[in-house]
Parts: sequence; structure tokens; C-alpha cells
Amino acid sequence: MKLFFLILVLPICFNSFAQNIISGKISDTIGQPITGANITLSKKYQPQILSFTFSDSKGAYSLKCVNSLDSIEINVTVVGYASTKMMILNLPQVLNFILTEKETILPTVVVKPIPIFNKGDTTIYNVSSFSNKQDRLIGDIIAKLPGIEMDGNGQIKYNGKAISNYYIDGLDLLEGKYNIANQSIPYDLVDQIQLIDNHQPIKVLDSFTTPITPALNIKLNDKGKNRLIGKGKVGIGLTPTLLDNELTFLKFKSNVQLISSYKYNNTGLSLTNELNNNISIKQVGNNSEQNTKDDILNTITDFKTSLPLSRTLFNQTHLAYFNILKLFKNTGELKINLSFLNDNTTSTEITNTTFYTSFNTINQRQIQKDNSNLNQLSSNFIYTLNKKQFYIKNTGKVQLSYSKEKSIISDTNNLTQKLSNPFYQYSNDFLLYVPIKKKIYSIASSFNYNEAPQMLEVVPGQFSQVFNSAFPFEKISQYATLDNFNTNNNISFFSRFGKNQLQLKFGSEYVNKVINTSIQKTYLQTKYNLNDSFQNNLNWKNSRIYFVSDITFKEKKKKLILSIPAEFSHVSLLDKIKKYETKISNFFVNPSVVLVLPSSSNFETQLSYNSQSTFGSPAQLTSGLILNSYRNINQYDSLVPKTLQHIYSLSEFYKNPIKAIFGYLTFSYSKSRKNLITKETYYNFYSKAESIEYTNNQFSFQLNTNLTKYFIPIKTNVSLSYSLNAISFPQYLQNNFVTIKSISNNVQLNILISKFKKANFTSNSLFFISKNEISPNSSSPSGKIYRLQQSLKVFYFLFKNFSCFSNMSYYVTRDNELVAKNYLFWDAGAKFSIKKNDIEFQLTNLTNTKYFTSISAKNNVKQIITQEIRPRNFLIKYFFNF
Amino acid sequence: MPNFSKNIRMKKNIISILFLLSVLAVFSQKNEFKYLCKFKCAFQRDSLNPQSKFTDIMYLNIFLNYSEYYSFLRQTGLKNMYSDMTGGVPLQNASKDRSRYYDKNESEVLTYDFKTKNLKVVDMLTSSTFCYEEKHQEPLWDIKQDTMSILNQLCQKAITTYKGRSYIAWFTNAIPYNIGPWQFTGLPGLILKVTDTQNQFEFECIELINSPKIENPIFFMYNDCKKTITKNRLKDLKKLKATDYMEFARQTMGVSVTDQKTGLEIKKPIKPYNPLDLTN
Repeated sequence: MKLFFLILVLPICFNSFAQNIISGKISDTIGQPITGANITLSKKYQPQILSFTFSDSKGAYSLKCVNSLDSIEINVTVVGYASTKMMILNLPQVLNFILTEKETILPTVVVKPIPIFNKGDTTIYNVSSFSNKQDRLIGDIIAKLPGIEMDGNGQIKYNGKAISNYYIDGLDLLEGKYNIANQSIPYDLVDQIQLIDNHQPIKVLDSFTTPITPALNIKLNDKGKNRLIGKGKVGIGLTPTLLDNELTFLKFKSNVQLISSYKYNNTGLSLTNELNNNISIKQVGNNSEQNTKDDILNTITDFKTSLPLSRTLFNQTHLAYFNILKLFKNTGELKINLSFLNDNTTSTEITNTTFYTSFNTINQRQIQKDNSNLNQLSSNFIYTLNKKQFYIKNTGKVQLSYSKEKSIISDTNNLTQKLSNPFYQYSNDFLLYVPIKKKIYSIASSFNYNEAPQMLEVVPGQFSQVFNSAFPFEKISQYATLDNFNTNNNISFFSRFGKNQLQLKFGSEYVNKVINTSIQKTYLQTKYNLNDSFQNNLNWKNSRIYFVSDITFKEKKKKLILSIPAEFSHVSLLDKIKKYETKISNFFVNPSVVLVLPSSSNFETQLSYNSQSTFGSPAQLTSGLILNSYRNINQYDSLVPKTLQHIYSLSEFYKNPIKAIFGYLTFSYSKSRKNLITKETYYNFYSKAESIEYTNNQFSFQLNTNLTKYFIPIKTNVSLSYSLNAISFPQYLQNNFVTIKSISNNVQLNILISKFKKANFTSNSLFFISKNEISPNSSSPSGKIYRLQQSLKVFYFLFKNFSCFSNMSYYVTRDNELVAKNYLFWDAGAKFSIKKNDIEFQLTNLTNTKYFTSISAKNNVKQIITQEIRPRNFLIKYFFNF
Repeated sequence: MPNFSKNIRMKKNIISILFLLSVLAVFSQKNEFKYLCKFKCAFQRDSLNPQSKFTDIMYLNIFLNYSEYYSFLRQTGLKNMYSDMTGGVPLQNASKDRSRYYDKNESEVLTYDFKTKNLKVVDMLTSSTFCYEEKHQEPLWDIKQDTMSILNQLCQKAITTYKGRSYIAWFTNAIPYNIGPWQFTGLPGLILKVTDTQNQFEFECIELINSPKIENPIFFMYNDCKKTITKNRLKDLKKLKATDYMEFARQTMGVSVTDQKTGLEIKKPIKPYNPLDLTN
């Protein structure tokens, strides 16, 4: 519309009036009256209004001016019309205004959300306050939130406490495998990350017990809800030919959640930790150690370097998973979690191993080339009915895995070892809570069956003096099968007296483990099955009856949780080879106490003590020789191992989300009393482990502390942590009784600066020092080992759609004997954003470092490992959404 | 003959399409979302206890000829709850766990017509919706010369005594809408901040958005209301709900809660109530 305005001024002076009245009419260009226009008077050049009025439905107005000024400014404003301002004489007059239509540009002021705030027991992080252009997934954001730590396995800790639940919009789709969500959900679909203290997921128990561990909830925004979200990645690179591909589907509705994905890469990106279970809740009974995989045979690849896995991993990994949750109208919830992993890795290492004894040292050097292949199919079927009236949960799990490992060891003795390592597990857990007359009754039942038929083949045959009267022989094959069945059933009762709670639990557990091992040798092209002293056929049965009384005393937010579990345990061990049977019965009372003292809204102190009495595993009772690996033979012709452990801990937690300060300090001291001691004997090329009866004590001390402050105005997070681990235990080494002491210190400083529009900086510094000692011998096995790591990652956001990064890491490793080793790694890359899609260029290991040497020590063993590093790589990736 | 009738039919069609388009144009113009002002509000629920402050986020949606004022948190919560219920989350669960969706947020939705100066009030108390319409009583302002910057806008002070309380308001004539939060109107610019002199109520604008492209979250509108009520009766019901929920449930739903053991009706202590409007 043609822009003009016309003002008709018809001043009529009425000098005789004492009070000046200005009146008139406001209309538009076609003469239509304008209603609700603001007519204001003010002094010249001053914004303050002296008097005001509005035009009525006929456009008329009348305004008194009570000021004694000679002239005043009149201003007419109304939305949709050009505003009019003019100086007039302060006299009674009639002023008519004709306003021209014009779009009024009104200000937009959007306040950025508060980064962290508290709502009751919940700390809320606004994702938009912590996200940057370089982020892609919600896991990237969680890892850098102040007060939250994420370790290498993806486990999330909030102010030092591991989370007990991970929800997506209030629903627990993945349980402990929440890495899947962290590695799948784009951060821009998430509005908030909420950390909930005192969260009780079971409605029946809501007013009875509250866990002391926090829960995490991902609150999605509207973009993340009610639609099928597809995203993918196509990556190709050199050298050798590299591929990094992904296709993921997500759907989050109020009654259905889905995360399904297929991923493949050979770029050194480990996918196995996406399937890690990071929540271990003892749902049924107290003793839940029975379901873990217990390897009898292995290929010795224990020691890990300090480098990120992506630098040393030569892999070809396929991962597919399908996770769905369906909420039914009766509030029933069905979850199906399926995953398939095919992981092929190769590695080359030069290892110098030194075994320190009280009077001599034994060195071994070897070059080892490993190939491993793992196929793992996991499935969980979980049905939950979580109502105020009752709670039912049934979890069925099937895991089938088959792995093959092959190592070629050269230098001292060229040999090949092959390990086939299948594992089949079937388990079911059932849990029911029913409230009856203000009390809650519970039934819990679980069973688990797993089998691990392992086979280790070593070519040429080793330990010829043991297995073949010192004559060299072609091959030795070790077979070991461990079948494990356990069932645990209990009933419990919850009651409340005043503010306090009582839980009584009565149950039984039955564990049956059967171990069969045998050795076959090939000598002069003939296969021989070795005799009874090289075989084991053990049948271990452990029956437990337990009665647990838990009392929780509450006073406001203070809590004292007292648990007194009493159990009668009966173990019978039948050795079918030796044809003898051992039976042991024991009565244990293992009390534990936890005191939670919130001294203010920010500080919380926790004190705890607990004791544990355990029998060792039957794998430690094998009287027949077992070839564990190509260089270890074990023979534990001993009593049933018993351990009584006392653990004391003191923790202080500080949390101030408003000021974004988080901190914790945890001391933990434990004393373990054991009835057996390990006897280790080292020979030039192999070692032998036995158990002998000798009551001994093992001590350990741990200190973990962290202080994090997020400086909100400068968007900078500073986190300082320190940890100390000390352990002392006796051992029978080369027929000498020694005490091994080991101390390690770790200081870490992480700084993240996101203040600048054009660049982001992340600096991680780590200093590690460890010391191992064997006494009475004064010479320490390795002296001190020092490690310093410094990395600096910088992102530059040069244009709206273009950013680039540089990541430099510097490593120094040294000990008393080795000259310091220094390494520099440099990666760089760039990213273009085209609408919703991105193209990323990545150059890895620009310095083309070929090998990396690390030093590590554990107990009386020191290893210097030189590993092959992934060569200089170039990778181009296309990320797309649909 | 057929051609003639065809022409007439075609003309009729064109006229009806033009009519429809013009209606749509007028309708869309009338309903054009012009401006959004988000207020952070603190209400002291107990006049004797300064610790009883409750914070809410209120939206003032400004259209061409009218404005709407409501609790964003309450309306979004209701909308999500309804969406969950229709999406399969059982009704009993959703209504019982109402606290999952919203807290003690303001339930009233006000619609103010700029031309007629009529105020429509609709309120959802538990599951029943009540409404009334009245001529808006505009506060009488005394403007002062003090200024303050709020959200980078120069604001001028004005004071009033309105519906039993004294208020200090800050308005900006850079945004020439004569309205503000709740029922505060009648200043020559948008009111960005209001506090009462006893510091029990505070409304402060935290965001201003021109031509907002967001979905209006209002769950229930005045036109959806089927139970017309007098202003005073609604005030009485709100007071009863806040102070004595058991009695409110008995009066509005015919429900009484009795102790299982004694069979007697459960009585809970009367809770404090501190409404904005102190007039009878």
C-alpha cells in the first residue's frame, strides 16, 4: 500500500480557558474511525508520558493537559497504522488525525531458557543451553552436562551415583542398555534431561520405599513425538577401504516407543558397548552373581592401553537391534529388545611381560596377532503391569553367543592358539507386589540356565614335560564345559510403623554348577585323551535359605536403613573323577547399615557398612590340570574358598543446581578374610597357579572425588577429579610368602568452553601415577609408572552451515626403566550442513603414528605393550534424516 | 436450456466459493495470532506465609480484535493428558496421576474483546467447565514519571488500586496494545510487569514474540463451555475447591469420602486461600 499519512490540523485557540483540552478524531484514509488508538502527551525529547487517552468507537478522543509548558508533543499510536508524532502549542484545540495503514514492527525478545534448575527432587537440564553445532546425539549432550559423568562403557553417574533407571518420556524402553538411546536419539529431539532423586518406579511401593539412586528421564520436544523418525549415515573412506553406515528408525508415542537400527563399520568405531547393561539391579534375592559368564579358558588379552579404543581397533562390526515398547489400555507394558552383533577384530601387539618375585624377575617377550569373531544374539521379553493395586513384572531373556579367537604368537616360540567360546543363556525373572490392608506382599522367582562349552587348541603342544614326558608334540586341545543352573525364590512383606518401614524377606536359592574338563594331545599324528589327572568332572550344589529383615527409619529426609540378612548355606561338591564328595554347611549373618543424612538442601552425607560371606566358584576347585591359556596351567586341589568381606564407606555429596556446582567425596575401605591363598609359580615361559590353605587378609582403600562448576554466563564447564586406589594382599610367590601392595593416583581436569559463537574448546588433562611393591623384598617390581595425557579439541564455526574441528592429543608414558615415550595424535575435519543433512570430512591420525607403547602394572606383573595403531585415514560421511 | 442452467450453476458455484473465501479471509484475519507475551507469575497462596509462593507461566495471546490469557503449563498439561488418554493411556491412570501433567496452575482462561470491552471467563474445576461474560471493569491508572527497562523495552510506571489490591505496573508505549496480564488494561502500551504493594503477586513478562508461529495450547475455549454460571458463584466454588476440597467434591460431584473404619466423612483442615480479586 502506498505509504503516506495526512494530518489535518485544525487548531482553534481558546486562550481564556485555564485547563487545556485537546480533542479530535482519529480515522483511517477512507474516513473510517479507528477505535482504541493511544493518544499521549509528553515533553519534547522525553519518553515519559504526561497524560493519555484512547479513541472511542467513533474514533473521538479528548485529553486534558495539566502541564504548564508552552509546547508539548502529541503522539498517536495504534497497531496496524503508522504512528504520528508532532509538537503542538499547549492550548485547547481540536486535532484530527488520519492514519495510514502500516504494519507495526513489534519487538521480539526471546529469553534463553535457564540451563539448570530444580523442581522438587528433580534437577532439570535444558538441552538447548548445552548443545552446540558439533553435537549429534543425546549421548553427546549427557556426557558434558555438569554433575554427570559417563564412563567408557557408557554408564551414567549423577554426582557420583550410578543411575537406576533411564526413561524416554517417562517410559523405560531399554532398561540397562540405555547406551542404545544415547547413540541413537538426535539431541534436537530432546527438550530436557531430568535427573530425579528419590524416584520409586513401582507404584505399589511409592509411599513405602524410595531408592537412594537417581533416575534419568529424557523429555522429548514436539519434534520428537508422534512420528516415525528416520536417520541414516553413509560413510566411505581410505585406506584401506573404509565404510561407516547406519540406518535408524525411531518412534516415540505416548503408548508406543521404538528404536531400531542397523549399523556397520570398519573404521575402528566400537559398537559392542551399545549393548552393555549398565544397570545391575538385584531384583530377586540377594545373590545375583550366578548369571555372569565364568570363563575357564582364555587367550590372555587382559591389559588395556590408555589410548581410546578407536585408535587401536581394527574391526568389521555389524550391529542390528530392534527395541519396542507397547503400552496397553490396562496400563500393561510389553517390551521386546532384540539385538544381533557380529564383531570381527584383529590386533597386533608386542608384549614384554615381567613377573616379579621376591628374589628374581622373569621376562617374557612375544608378538601376538589376534583374530576374533563374535556372533551374539540377545533377546529380552518383558511384561510389566505397574498399578496402584498391584505390580507384576516378568522378564524372559535368551542370549546365544558364539565367539572364536585365534592368536599367532611368535618370537620365543612360534605357536597358534584357537579358542572357541560359545555361551547360551536362558533366564526368567518374575516379581509380584500386592498391597493388602496397608501392607505389601511380594513374590519373586527367578531361574537361570547357562552353558559354556569352551575349547582351546594350542599348536604346537605346550608344557611337554607335563603332558608328554618332555617330548615335543604337535597339538594340545583343552575342553572345558561349565553348565550352570540356579533358581531363587522368595516371599516378602512390607509394613509401615509411623514414618518407618519394615521389610521381611524369606527365600531360598539353589545353584548347580557342573564342570567337565578334559585334555587331548596329538603326538606323532595320533590323538591321545589324557588320563584322570588331566580331567575334571565336578558337580557343585549350593543350597541357601535366607531370611532378611530390612528396617528403614525415617525422620524428614534422614534415613537409616538397617539390613540383617541371615542365611544357612549348604555346599556339596562331588568330584566324579576322584570319586569323593565334600559337604560344608555354614550359617552367615551379614548385616549392613546405610545412613543418609541430608544436612541441608545441598549437602548429603552417606555412611555405610556391609559385610558379605561368599563361597568361591567351583572353577577354583578343579583338581585335574587345566590349560587356561597357552602359557597357564591351573590346578586347585583345595578346600572350598570362603571369603568374609567387610566394607566401610563414607560419602559426602554436594549439589547446587542453581549455581551449577556439583561435587562428591567417597572413601571406601574393605577388608577381606580368605581361607585360601594363591600360589603362583613362574617358569621361563609359563606360570602355574594353585590354591593352598592359609587364612589371610586383603585390604583395599579407595578415594574418589570430583568437583564440577558450570559458569553459566561464560558457558564454561570445569571439572576436576581425583581418585586413589590402594590394595594390599599376601601371595605365595615362587615358594615365598610375600605381600603385594599397589597404589595408583589419578588426577583429571576437563574444561569445556562454549561461550564463543565462532569456536568451542574442550581440554582434557590426565595425570596418572602408580606404584607396586613386593615385600619383604625392598625392590619394587616396576618402580613408579607415570602417564600424562593432554588433549585439546577445537571446533570452529566459520559460517552458518560450515564448521571444522581439530583434535590434538599428546601422551607421555614412562617408568624407572624405560625412557619416556611421547606420542602426538592429530585429527581434523569439516562439516557442511545442507538443510537437515550434513556432510562430514574426517582425517584421522594425521601424524601417521604407527605404534603406541604403553606400560601397565598389576600386582606383581608389569607389561609393556606396543600396539599397532590405525593408519592415517580419510573418511567422508553423509548424515541424512527423513 | 441445459447450457443456461449450467451457467447459472457455475455462477452459483463461483459466488459460493467467493463467499467462502471472503468468510475465510475475514475469519483468518480475525484469528491472526499477532503477538505473544509470556509472563512468569508468582502467586502467594497463603497471605500469611511468604514461603507459599507458587510460580506459573501465563501466556497473553494477542489477536487482531481480542486477547486470551491463560496458564500455559495448565493448558499444555491438559492437552497432553487428553492426548495420552485418546492415545491409549487409560483414563483412570491419567486422571489419577494428574500431577504428572500439571500442578496447582491457574485454571482460568480469560478472553478480552478490544472493541466491546467484554471479558469472557471460562474455568475448568476438576472435570466441569464453568463460564460467564461481563463488561470489563478497567483499572484507573495514575501514571508516574519513573522508568525501567524490561526486556530491552523502556517502561513507565503506573499505579492503581484494583479489585481490593494496590498495584505498581510498568508499561511500554513501544508496543501499543492497551492490555497486560490478568485483567490489567487501560494503559497506553503493553504492561510488562505488575506487582502488588504487599508483594504477594507478581507478573513479569519474560518473552515477547511477534507473529508467533506456535500452536495455541488452549485446551478448552469459552465456546466449548456448556455451564454458564454467575461470577460470584464461580468465585465461591473456586474458594471452596481451594480451601475444602471434600466439601467442593460433595457439592459439585455429589461425592463424599468416608473413612473405611468409622464410616464417617473425612474432614481435612481448611486450607488458606488468597485470590487476586478481593471484591465480593
